[in-house]
Amino acid sequence: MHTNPPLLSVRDLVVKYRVKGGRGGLLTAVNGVSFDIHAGSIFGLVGESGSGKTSLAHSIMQLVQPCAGEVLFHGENLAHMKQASLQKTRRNIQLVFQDPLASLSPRRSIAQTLIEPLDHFRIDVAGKRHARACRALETVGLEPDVLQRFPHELSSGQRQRVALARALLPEPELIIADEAVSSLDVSVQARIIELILDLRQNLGIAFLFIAHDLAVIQQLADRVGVMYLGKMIEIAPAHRLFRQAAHPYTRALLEAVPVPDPAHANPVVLQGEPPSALTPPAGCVFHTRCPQVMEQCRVLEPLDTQINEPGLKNTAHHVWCHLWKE
Amino acid sequence: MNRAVLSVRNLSVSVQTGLGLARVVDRLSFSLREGEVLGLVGESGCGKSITAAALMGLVPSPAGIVTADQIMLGDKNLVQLDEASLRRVRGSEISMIFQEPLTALDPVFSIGSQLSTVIRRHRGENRHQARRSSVEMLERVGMADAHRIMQSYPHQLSGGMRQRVMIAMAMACRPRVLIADEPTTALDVTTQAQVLEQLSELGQSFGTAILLITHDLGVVAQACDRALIMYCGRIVEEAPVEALFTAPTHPYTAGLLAAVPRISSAQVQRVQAIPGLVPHPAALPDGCHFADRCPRADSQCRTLTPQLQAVDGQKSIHRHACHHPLSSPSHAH
Ligand SMILES: Nc1ncnc2c1ncn2[C@@H]1O[C@H](COP(=O)(O)OP(=O)(O)OP(=O)(O)O)[C@@H](O)[C@H]1O
Ligand SMILES: Nc1ncnc2c1ncn2[C@@H]1O[C@H](COP(=O)(O)OP(=O)(O)OP(=O)(O)O)[C@@H](O)[C@H]1O
Ligand code: SF4
Ligand code: SF4
Ligand SMILES: [Mg+2]
Ligand SMILES: [Mg+2]
Repeated sequence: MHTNPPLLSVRDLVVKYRVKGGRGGLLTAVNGVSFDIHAGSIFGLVGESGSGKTSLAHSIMQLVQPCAGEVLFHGENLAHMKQASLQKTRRNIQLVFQDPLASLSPRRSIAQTLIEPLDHFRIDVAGKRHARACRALETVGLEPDVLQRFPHELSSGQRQRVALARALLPEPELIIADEAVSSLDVSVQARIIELILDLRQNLGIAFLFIAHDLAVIQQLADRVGVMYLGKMIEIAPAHRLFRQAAHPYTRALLEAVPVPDPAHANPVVLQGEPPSALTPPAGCVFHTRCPQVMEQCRVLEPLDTQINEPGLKNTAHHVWCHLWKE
Repeated sequence: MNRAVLSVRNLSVSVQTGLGLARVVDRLSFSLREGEVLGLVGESGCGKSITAAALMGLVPSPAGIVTADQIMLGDKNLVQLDEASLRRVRGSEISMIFQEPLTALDPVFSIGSQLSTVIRRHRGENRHQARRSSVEMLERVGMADAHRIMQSYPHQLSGGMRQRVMIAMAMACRPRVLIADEPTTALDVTTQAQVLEQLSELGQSFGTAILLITHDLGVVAQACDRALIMYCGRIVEEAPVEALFTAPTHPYTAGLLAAVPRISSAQVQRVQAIPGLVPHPAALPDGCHFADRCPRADSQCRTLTPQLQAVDGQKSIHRHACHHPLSSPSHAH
């Protein structure tokens, strides 16, 4: 189906941080993660808080140096790129930070924040950049008067939408959105979902979309990856993940989604010790909390297993769990 | 019914915007009872965080102007307290979990030193006890590696970890009133379930009353006893959660509920955003602020401000502000 190399290809990526204590003072935040994103597709990334999603996003952007593995953009290794082409690539990959307040400069008006990258990348003639910024704000449901304000004069959801508008403005090929809709109410969220699907459709923009909100992921993503303690534990087409999740952690996540109905029983909290990132469990990283844990899970690390089923492309659904054998 | 620990009468906040002075919180009145979890829900920018800031006495002046007939916390009227007395009340009697943790955590102190300082101040524990309590609080909100977290600085934690540090800090004070502003937005759903359980436990063990600001109606259903629905700075509906989900009467509430995406294994549901945009707070329409987006609006709605009143007779605790609520026959379109 895809003859071109993927737009983004992440291969065996490992990210470690130096911390006090632990094994040799290192914490492994991302532990050998691989996946591809094709042009115009949306890859959803979900997972436990602290499982390494933001670290993965930042290492793709080369904001933290991965200690192993590679990131290929159009087949080219970002770590080996020359300054000039890296500069060009920067325009084509935009990151929306998880924390908008930290990424929007407090002393710059929203107009400066939005228009500066356009100046920098020489997008549009100078006179039209203001109008372009207004339009971008409008698409995320904000009024033009926001341009004169400073970040602290906006609500959190408004700031989040400014950060999104800034990423959209240069019309990149890939947007990495780290919890970019987490502060939005359902009505505004529905609008943003429409916008993203529209941008994918009409401009072919691809997304790495990190979110805790599984309903949002279900509406947006073509494929979904699930992370737990630095590892990818399942990758599947979105429609399959929500119907036939294979990994016990993915199933626990889906069962814990709060239902907007007070008569519905509250979700069961995952039992067992949350694992330490400094001294991760041997064998399967989920075994300390897995309801289906077996003897081998405690010692043997599960390998990448493809699920084969009639009608399913054999590379489509991957799971890392001993319950599944080829 | 438990007695009210927080009782707010006619709280208003105005701020300066590009288009002039805007009243972003408009004569809010509500009360919060001991041990209760009260949800505060509404569209992005409708005034939820500013309301929280006003209750805490943290609206920056001169940018914002706060007025209120009363904000009674127990027998203290916070409106009449000076800054020094307010500071004593904050933290010990009323505390807050901020929407953006980075605004509340100090980047140059370790988590352990920030948490223990708060615990020592509010619980009078010594250094050693306070460190033990800090570790315990962190574990309660689902953090493994509590000792590593204690030694870390805020930027060394993930978004959800920072959020949980703040929750631990607020809970450690065992306040009478806790304002939690979108406390679980950075948490995965299993961790969220655990944290919500801990918050409700706080109410049961210490009688803490919680004002839970959230945009997630699933969280409201799961964690709240009652909820306030806010639109453009006003409360438009107030109801026990059962009534809110089974028989909402305000058209805006109904619109919000219809926009909730549900995870259905069968088919992806495309949800409907409420048509139109929230009006600018400095250019609000007369009458009902929702009129431009409401399918039931008529000329009365555009001229006369609907007042908050009981849905069915005098004693109901289900209230709404609407001329043509959903339970009554639909008006001519
Ligand atoms: N600069 C850093 N120094 C040390 N440790 C770090 C640093 N940044 C992240 N970590 C650690 O790496 C792990 C992964 O963090 P990361 O922010 O990638 O998680 P996440 O999946 O994005 O979580 P969340 O959903 O809560 O945002 C955490 O244990 C965190 O404490
Ligand atoms: N310091 C300020 N100066 C001017 N306007 C402000 C200031 N702070 C907030 N506002 C405006 O007041 C309104 C209410 O803001 P508030 O932060 O209370 O919204 P919110 O309901 O918490 O929204 P969200 O769900 O996005 O967090 C918004 O329109 C915002 O732009
Ligand atoms: S490998 Fe074992 S412990 Fe891990 S998820 Fe599968 S069954 Fe559970
Ligand atoms: S008062 Fe009128 S415009 Fe406002 S919500 Fe009710 S019916 Fe709609
Ligand atoms: Mg993150
Ligand atoms: Mg807010």
